[in-house]
Amino acid sequence: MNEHTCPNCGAALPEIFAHARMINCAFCGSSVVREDDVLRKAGEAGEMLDAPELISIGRALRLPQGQFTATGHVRYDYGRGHWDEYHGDLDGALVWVSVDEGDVALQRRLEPAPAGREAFRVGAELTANGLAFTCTEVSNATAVAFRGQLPEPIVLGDTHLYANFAGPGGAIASGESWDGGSSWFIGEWIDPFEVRPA
Amino acid sequence: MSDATRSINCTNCGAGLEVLGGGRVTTQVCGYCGAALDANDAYRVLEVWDGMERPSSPFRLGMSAEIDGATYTIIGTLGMQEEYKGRYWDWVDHQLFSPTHGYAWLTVEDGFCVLTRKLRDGPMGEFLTPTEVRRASSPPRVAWKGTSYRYYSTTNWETNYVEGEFNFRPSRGRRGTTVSVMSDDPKDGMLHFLMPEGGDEREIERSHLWPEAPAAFGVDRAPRPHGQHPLQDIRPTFGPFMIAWFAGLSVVSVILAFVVLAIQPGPTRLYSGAPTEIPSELGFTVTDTSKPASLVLRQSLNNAFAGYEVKMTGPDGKVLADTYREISYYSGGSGDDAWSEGSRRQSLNFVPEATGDYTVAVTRDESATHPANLRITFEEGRRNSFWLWAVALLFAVVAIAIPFFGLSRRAGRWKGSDWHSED
Repeated sequence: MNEHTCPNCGAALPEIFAHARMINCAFCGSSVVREDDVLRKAGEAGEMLDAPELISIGRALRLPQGQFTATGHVRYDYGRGHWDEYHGDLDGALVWVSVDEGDVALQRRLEPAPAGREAFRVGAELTANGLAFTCTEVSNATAVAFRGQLPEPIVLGDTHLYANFAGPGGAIASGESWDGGSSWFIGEWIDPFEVRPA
Repeated sequence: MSDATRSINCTNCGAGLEVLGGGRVTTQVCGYCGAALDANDAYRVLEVWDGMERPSSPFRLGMSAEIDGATYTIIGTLGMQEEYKGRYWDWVDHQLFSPTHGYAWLTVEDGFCVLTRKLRDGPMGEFLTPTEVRRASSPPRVAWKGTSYRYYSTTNWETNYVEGEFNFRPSRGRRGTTVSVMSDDPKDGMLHFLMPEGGDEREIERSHLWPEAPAAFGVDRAPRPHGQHPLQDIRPTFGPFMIAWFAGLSVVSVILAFVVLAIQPGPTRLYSGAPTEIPSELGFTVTDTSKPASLVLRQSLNNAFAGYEVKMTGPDGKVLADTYREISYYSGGSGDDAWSEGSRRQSLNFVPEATGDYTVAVTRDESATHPANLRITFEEGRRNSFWLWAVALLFAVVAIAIPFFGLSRRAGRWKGSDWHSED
């Protein structure tokens, strides 16, 4: 039985996953952060403009790597456009799937960080999981909206630096850097035509 | 992607331009004045190419079509050309955009429509360059996802027309090279290794024929393909049915041949014994002149030979044959190395002109004699099964060859390849 309610409007929140640290109240649009099982309002969940989507929360999909169901969705704006990051379950494992105008990538968190801020430069090279990667894109992005539940709090409106790295055989690595931190991910590209309803 | 902006005014000529592409579009080229506008910088004018001649294509900007559930819109048009030794080849590339499935290309060449998509997981480690092709002594091969692709052609292209939106920076006069490979199965499509001049960007793309494109986009007059496209699946004219048909005819012919052999009348023994004891004259009676007859000599010798003079006389005393037969049989080895040559059987075949009593004189050759037992028989009324064996062989050859005919038709896909053995 769900015992959580939105600290802003009191509406019942959906069942909160064990990994979730940030939840969207579908009733009032607040973003709710869970800290030590205490819920507090962190702000708004942002406006998610309607756009054709390959992936949507709660809809099971068949990927080449297994069955994926998104439970959280973050939208990043890079100026002229946006891309979407979906967090969810892939056959029991928690993964991220990013979708940027047909470029679909399945990624897992990469720890420890394979490089520092100096790698955020087009042409920079790094090695991760034994694979050599080359930086192909560096830019800034702003988290503008989220829905569902996320494993970590996202500060909407904050801009961070991101870099994409191309590896062999469709491997991809990406890094995000902000004041005081960074996170890295590694994975592989997926043909969007191989993203099918489960 | 901003949904608010759906059209802009060209910052060079003021013409209204639809914005059809997504957030990754970097350049928009005005179809009225030829100005290239920087989509990432308030559409400032980068360059103006006036006097460009729009290439012929039934597809126009803004047309949409569905591909396997994804909606693609034509957002850009490139006129492309290759020149080689004074000959020119032209084609049109339309850039497509789908909000969910990204960017792709629709190419119209010789009336054929081809869909091309970038391969994110292509064989980048085996990127095939024109230099590698020139150095190769045999057609280079590339393996991708368990399939072997063989070199097909190198295209030195140049862009001579630009209009619409692109997710890269196109320009009139932009040149580059594309090395193409394909497998023996047209379903695998064609892989392209793209190297634009003056840049270190390399891409791998994959193409498939898309004959439904005109209908999918709803064009009024579909282009009429002419010639043969290497991605066409030319199915063999002779299918498995024809193979079964000829194989069946061959089997029937073999069965009939065995039947003919089975119903042959038995031989009449004229002599059996030592060659030294052959009577000076042997007789036999011919009763059937409609079928071939045969005088057969069999001697059970081994690793030896023997010769015999054979003189046959007809009922009227006329000598019908005066000939020589050598029986020679050699063998050796054992197991897989066993061999033999020659035959212990020799025959004198003839078609009797008249019935009656014939005589034959078989005289051993003193210089080539062997004591092994000799048997002389006469066979008549024999049905000739030769032609049945011949047609059985012919049908079998045809049945076996049909798949090769098919392969040769499919090999026709490669006739446009620029790889030649003297390269």
